[in-house]
Formats: sequence, C-alpha cells, structure tokens
Amino acid sequence: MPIFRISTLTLVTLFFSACVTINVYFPAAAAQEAADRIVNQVYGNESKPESETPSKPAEEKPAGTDQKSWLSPSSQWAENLINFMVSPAYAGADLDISSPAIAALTANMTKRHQKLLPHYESGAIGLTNDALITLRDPNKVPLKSRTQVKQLVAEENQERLALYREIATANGHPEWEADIRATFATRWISRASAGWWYQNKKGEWQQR
Amino acid sequence: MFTLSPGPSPRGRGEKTTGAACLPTPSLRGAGGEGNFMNITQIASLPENGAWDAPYVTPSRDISLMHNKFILLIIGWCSVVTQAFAIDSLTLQFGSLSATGWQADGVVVHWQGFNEKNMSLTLDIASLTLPTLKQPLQKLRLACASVKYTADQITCPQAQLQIEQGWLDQSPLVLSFTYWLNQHHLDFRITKWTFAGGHITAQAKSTAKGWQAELQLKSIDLEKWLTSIATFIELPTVSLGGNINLLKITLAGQDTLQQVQLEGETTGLKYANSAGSQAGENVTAKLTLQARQTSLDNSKGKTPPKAPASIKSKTKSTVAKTEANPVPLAPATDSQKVSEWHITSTLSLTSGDIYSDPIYATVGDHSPVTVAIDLTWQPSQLQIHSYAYTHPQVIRLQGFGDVTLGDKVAVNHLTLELRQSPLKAFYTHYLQAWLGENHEWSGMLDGRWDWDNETHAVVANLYHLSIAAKDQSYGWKDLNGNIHWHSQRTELPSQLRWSGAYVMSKVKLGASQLQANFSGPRLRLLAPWSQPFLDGAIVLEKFDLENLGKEDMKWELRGKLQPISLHSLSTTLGGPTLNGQISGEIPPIVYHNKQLNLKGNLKLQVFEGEVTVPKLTLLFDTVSDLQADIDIDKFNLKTLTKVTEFGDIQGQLSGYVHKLHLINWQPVSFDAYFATPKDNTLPKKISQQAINNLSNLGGSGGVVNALSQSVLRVFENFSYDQIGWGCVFQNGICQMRGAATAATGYYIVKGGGLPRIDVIGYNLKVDWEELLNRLKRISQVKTPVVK
Repeated sequence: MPIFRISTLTLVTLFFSACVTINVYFPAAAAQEAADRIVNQVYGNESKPESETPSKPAEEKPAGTDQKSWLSPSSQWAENLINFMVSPAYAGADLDISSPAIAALTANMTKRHQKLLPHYESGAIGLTNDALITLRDPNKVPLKSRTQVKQLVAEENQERLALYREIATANGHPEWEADIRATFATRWISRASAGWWYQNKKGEWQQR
Repeated sequence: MFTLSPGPSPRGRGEKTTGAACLPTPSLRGAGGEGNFMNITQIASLPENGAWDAPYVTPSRDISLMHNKFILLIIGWCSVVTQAFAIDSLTLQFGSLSATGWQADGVVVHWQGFNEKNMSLTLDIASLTLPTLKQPLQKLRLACASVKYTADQITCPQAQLQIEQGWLDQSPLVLSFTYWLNQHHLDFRITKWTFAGGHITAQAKSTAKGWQAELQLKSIDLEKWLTSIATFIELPTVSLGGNINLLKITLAGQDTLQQVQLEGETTGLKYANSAGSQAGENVTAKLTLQARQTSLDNSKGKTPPKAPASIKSKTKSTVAKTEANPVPLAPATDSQKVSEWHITSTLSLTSGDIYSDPIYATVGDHSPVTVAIDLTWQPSQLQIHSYAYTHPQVIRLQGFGDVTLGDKVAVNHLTLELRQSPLKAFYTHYLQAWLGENHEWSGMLDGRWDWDNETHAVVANLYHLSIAAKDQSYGWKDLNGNIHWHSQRTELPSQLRWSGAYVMSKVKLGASQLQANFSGPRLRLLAPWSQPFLDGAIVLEKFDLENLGKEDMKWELRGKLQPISLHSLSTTLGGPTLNGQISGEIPPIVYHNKQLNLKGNLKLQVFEGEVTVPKLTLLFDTVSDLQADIDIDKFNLKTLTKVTEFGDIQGQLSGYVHKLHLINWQPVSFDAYFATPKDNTLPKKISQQAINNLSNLGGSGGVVNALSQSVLRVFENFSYDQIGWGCVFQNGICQMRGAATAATGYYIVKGGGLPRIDVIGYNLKVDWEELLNRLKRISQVKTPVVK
C-alpha cells in the first residue's frame, strides 16, 4: 500500500505539474519600439525627437486568444493551485521586423512618403485613428494630380494593412494584428510633423 | 375667400393719426376671383373737415389671401373711395398677411396725394417669410415717389426696394411697373440692381397672349453673390467662384412656362463638389440653351430618335446591334395629352482645367471644347436626338439615345461614336494625369459603343498605333487592327497585327498578329499566337481569360518555347556569350485570386541539360511570394563554367532547389543540392581556379597557396570522382553539405585518380550575406592564381 500511495502522489504531482497555463502577452513596449523604427524610417526622421506622446504604451495585457488552458472556468481553484505550485510560463519578446516582406513594405512606404508629404502638409491627407491615411480634403490637391494622389493613398493603406499582418505573422502570432495596428495608430500620429492633420479617438480632425 | 376682421392697432386703439384710412371696419369679406372679390359691409365715415379723427382702424392680424393682386385691387378700390371723399393720404397697417407659401408681418401701406393723379406709395414689411428662405427677410421697403393712376392703369415709373441684411448689396433696387386694371396686364422692370460687383436687370410683362420674363446678370462675382445669399438660401454643397460675365434668362408662356432661353458666359469659373470628384478651375465658357414645350396627343405615338447621318452611315458594323431601335411610347388613351420639352444646348469651353474623377482634362485657347446636345424630354422618356463632344485635334465624340425615365431609369438605346482621333493628343489631354507620364503614344483610333436594354457592344479600330515606355523597358510598334467586344456574342473576332515590339530596351520581338474573341468578361485566343523572339518564338496555344476587371479575374495559358539560341540571347542581354539553345514546353499556367500556379512540368533545355519546374506558385500581392521546386538534370559543366569565369570543370551536374520560398524576390528558405550524377557520361576534370573557388565557397581559403607551393602546381587540371555542394537555408543561415561526409567536414570535391586532390569544406553554417559575399568574390576572380 505505501508503494501505491507513493505512486499516486507521484502521479498527482506529475498531473498538476503538467497543467501549465501559458500566458502569451502582447509585447506592447516592444511593439511600440518596432513601430517607431518603421515610422521613423518611413517619415525619414530617425533622429527626430518625439514631440508629443499622445498615448503611452499600452499596459501589458494578455491576449485573450492566447490563454492556453484546458481547465474549465469552474476549475479556477485548480488553476490557482497549479499557479501556486508551478509558476506560469510567460512568452513575450522583442518583435522581429526583419523579414523580407516587412523590409519590402517599409521600403515601398518610405519611397511613397516623399510623394505624400506635400499633401500631409497641405492638410489634404490626414492620419486616421485606425492606423491608415485618408484623403480628407481632395479639393486641396491640384486637379492634375488628384487621381494619382488618390491612388497613392489607396496603395499606402493596402501596404499598411499588409505590414501589420506581416509583423504579426512573422512573429508567429497572427492574432496580434489588431494590437499591432492599434500601436501603429498612435505612433504614426505621435511622430507626425507639426501641421499635419490627424483623427483623435473620437474621430475628430485635429492638427499637430 | 378672404376675411378681414378688426384687431388691435400697433399704436393702440384711440391713438390719433395725421393720415387717413379707408379700410372698412369691423369686417371686410369677399370672394376671391378676378374683379369680384369683396363685399363691403360697412365703411367708416369721414368728418367734415376731412381729417380722420376716428380711432385708428387697422385690419386684422390674420388676413388670408387667395389672390396675389389683393394689394393692387385695394389701391384701385381706395382710389375710387378717396375720389369720392377727397382724402389726401392713406395708411393701412396689417398685422399679418399670409397665404400658402408666404407670410408678411408688420405690413404698412402708405399712399400720399390721393387728390392728384400723381401720388406716392410706400410699402413697408417688417418681416417677409418665404418657404425657400432659411430665415425671413427683414425690413423691406418699397417706395414709389410718383404713382400715376387712372381708371385704366396704375404706373410707377421709378420705385426703390430696400432690404436689410445686405441682400441688395447695400444698394437699393430700382424698379418700375405698370398695371392695366381692365386687362389685368402687368409690365414690371428692375432697371438697376447693383449686386455682387455687377448688376442685374429684369423685366416681366403679361398680356392677353401670355407672359414673358427676362433676367439679365452682368459681371457678377459668383463668390460674393453666394456669400450674400447663403444666409437665406440653402445652397448645394458645391463651391463656386469666378465671374459671370453674362447670364440672360428669358422665360415665356401662357398659363404655364412654355419657353426658356438661356445665354451665359463665364470667366475664371471655379467649381468643386464637396467630395472633390468634380471640379474645374479657370474655366472660360459660353452656354446657350433653348427649350420649348409642346403638347402632344400621346395616342399618336412619338417620333423615334433621329440619328445623325454620319452615324447612320456606319451602322454596317459587325457589332450585333448598331442601329437605333425605335421604342414605342407606353400605350395611351385618346384623351391623354403629353407635354414634352425640346431642348437644344451648346456649351463651349475655351480654356480651363476640368476634373471628373478619374479624368483630368486641360482645355487651351487654341483648342476649345464644344459640347452640343439636342434632346426631347418627357416625364417618362428622354430622347437624345444628337450629342456631340468636339475637341479639335484631340477627340470627337457624337451619339444619340433613348432613355426611359421614372421610378426605374432604363437605357433603351445609346450610341456613342468616336471619330478618328489622334491617340497622342487624346492621351496627353485626358489620360496622362491618370495613367502617368511614362508612355509615349502615337497613331489614330476610332470606335463606337452601342448600348441597349440587353446588350453592349464596342468596336475600336487602331491605325498605326505605337506605344513606348519612356524608360524604354518595353514598346509596341505599328499596331493595326480592330477590337470587337460584345456582352453576349462569342463569335466576333478581333484582329491585331504589329510590326514589332521590344522588352528590356534591347530584346527585339518580331512582327506578329493574333486573333481573339472578347465576349463579356471573357477573352480567348481563336488561334495559336506565335510571337517571334530573337531567333526563336514564344507560342501560346491557349489563352483564356475570365472575369476581366473583376476581383476574381482568372486566366490560363499553355504554350511552348521554340528554340532560342543562348548565343543571341546572351549577346542581346550583354552578358557572357553562351552557347546552346533554350527551348521547352510551357505547361498550363493558371492565374486566379492574385495567384499564379503551374499545372504541370515546365521544362527548359539549357546547357545541354534540362531544367524542370514541377511546382511553382507565385502570389501577386502587395509583396510578391514565390514557392517552387526546381530540378536540373545533367548540365554540361564545361559549357556552364566556360561562360561564368568560375574556372573550367568538365563533367555533368544534376541537382535541385526544393522548397524554394522567395518573398519580394528575396530568399526565405530553400533546400538546394548540386552534385555529379551517378550516370555521368562525360570526363570529370577540374581546374585549379575552380578548385580555389569551390574551396572559398566551403570556407577553405588558402588552397591555392597550398597548391602553388607544392609539386601539384605543375598540374593544370585534376581528375575528380565527385563534386557536390548543398545548402539548406532557413532563418538567414545556410546549413552546408557536400558530396560526402569527411572526417572533419564534407567533401566539395572528392578527388579521383592521380594526382588526387580533395576539397573539404569545414564551415557547416554560413550567414546568407556571407555566402553572397563569397559568391561575389568568386565572380571577381578572373584568372587563376597558380604560379
């Protein structure tokens, strides 16, 4: 019987040891750093100090879909016990933005930015609060170049969406795309030059 | 009907006045209608001295009017009464006058000099509310210093109208009118109205035969005008600026409006809608429009649309339906009368920039644009008898059509014909801002578009058309032929032929022609198309495109590459001169959802061996993504190394690149291996230079020094048993391997015979950038360094 007890105890211990909840947190600080590197490259202002911080990095938050646990909510006590016995494993690291796709997208956007720049400055183009740009006042664009500017805006938005998707995918977490996009939304605006127009969280247009 | 009942005076009852009032009290009732509109039930009597000393009598605050001539008839009535009672002046005060659509508050009418044939009249309205105005007009005053009246007519040769709030640009409006009491004729003129930097005149006349009104604006600053009236009128969200040099509108009719004439001239006109999709700048234009209403007995049917002779003469097109199809009117009863408007208009643009998303057009002084239209409009039908858009030396369009209006608009027929126009001028004026300035065009183009209820058809004829990219990356010369597109018919052939083309500025493509069918969203070759390419040809045996212009566009092709000498290819491209030929089969290639897939083995014969691509997927998205497997079989190394300056190697080489993954044409991963095939049939020799380069590839530098310092330096070539090198590339690192495993590395060259020499690689892993640098160094070595 003692042998049986020891074996049971061992099995129970092994059982609980196997119940590790892996919380994969969205690395908000790393995402902001990565976003700043890309935004600075695109804007061509690597050395420019940040003039305003409209938003602080989001608090580290667990991405809901990354909660890996086979324990049911009713077994919360068991999870607490496990957490007591076994420290939860965390995953979270710097974001890799060196993939060929990200490099290509960043290069394209950097090149395109020179064409968009006069229209940011005129107020024709504004930065939206969902990490894209929009032609907020087409009548500020000369007639001759209006169609091409519209095309540039469409291309830029297409590549921005691809960029957020690629960063999430390249880091093995496609579900981070929305968080990455939200991070970029604040960084595009906070690194923008004075005089550019942007949308605040309420969707109202403001000028930096 | 109207009613008039007593009400409190603005000044209060009992207040004395120096004037006189002829209004009845306590009530005035009557029936609306010409000449019979009131029955006086009681009239106030006057004192003997003629002074009005009775309590001030005012009409009600609530007067309903059924007739707009109420005031004038009151004047007529008062004139009779005052003649009888010898009144010098008369003041009427109305608390409120209203009728459907308007209301006037605080109305005061004052006559002076009733005993003369020449009296003065002043009308004050404290507030006038009209449904078309956002807010009431305040403090209107109409003053006529000299009203001449007789039993037959009332005339005011000069009156002034003033309105507060800047409506009249701080300047009174000068007008005159004459009213014939018996005939009910009116002659009304605004002789001077200084407004928005210019002036406005107007006149209206009614007679027994009808009425006519004319409004003329000269030198009006549009921006000032709109600013003035924006306070009162809800303007459309279109910004306007510039000058109206002249705008003359003439309206005429009997009971209703029956004729409209419009003539206008603008300079520096600027307009833009809020979306920015329609805009113009510095537009100088002239517009004329004539519209006449006629009544038809609908039971007789209607005239079918008239086609211009020049269009009719071309209706023998191969397009299915090119003649206008008369569409009968809807059935009508004999008693049904339909009125229709016949409208002709001409717009001439002499200069300006026009934007209509996505087209930008510039019109210069020497090439004015004229748009002319002739149409008949009914509430349920629009017949465009002719339409013409003429831009001399650039483009000429004309057409006609028939459209059903109403709840559901339907095009019964519409034809648009493009007369032969120079493509270069058309591109420069209309397409360049949209499609870019990267191309040069020449040649002529004409065409025709027919649209009816069920089908659409387009015919385009090309005459000596040439296109060249300005960076000379490609070009197409002397393209002739015709393109037929039909929404349904599938047998109409399109034929194109050209004298030549080029790609990459140097690679010439010979004369060719193709036959194809465009039907709906589908394009397919009707016969194999062979495009001469250097001394060979690319042959497409099949090309089938579906859903053209749609998100899920799909095409499939199949063909072959007829032998092209590598010598001519390498000479043309400017690289090392190659020998041999390249040829092969092009298996079915399918493009769908932005992705290109190979449906079979792509085989090319090159370097006396064969390249096979059994799998290839290429995604055309914001970033290109390629995945492929490539196999090579028995390249002749002598042929290969002879042209690459790698160093001579004899023998054969086979291998593969599997799981090749490129993103934006940059490698992400692959598994590559190249080695001497087991069934090699050629002598196996390798030069000292090749040994050196291979050793560099494997990280075994210094071999040359070792060779040159040993007795082996006397040998120029060495025999080998096997050559092999491979790389599994992933995460930026190349994991290398050789022909066989050595004690401390791997054999890149495993020697055979005497003297034997082995090249052994020691570096198992190398960074991709470092590997590229090694290959670069190898390519820079031009001569052997063995001494």
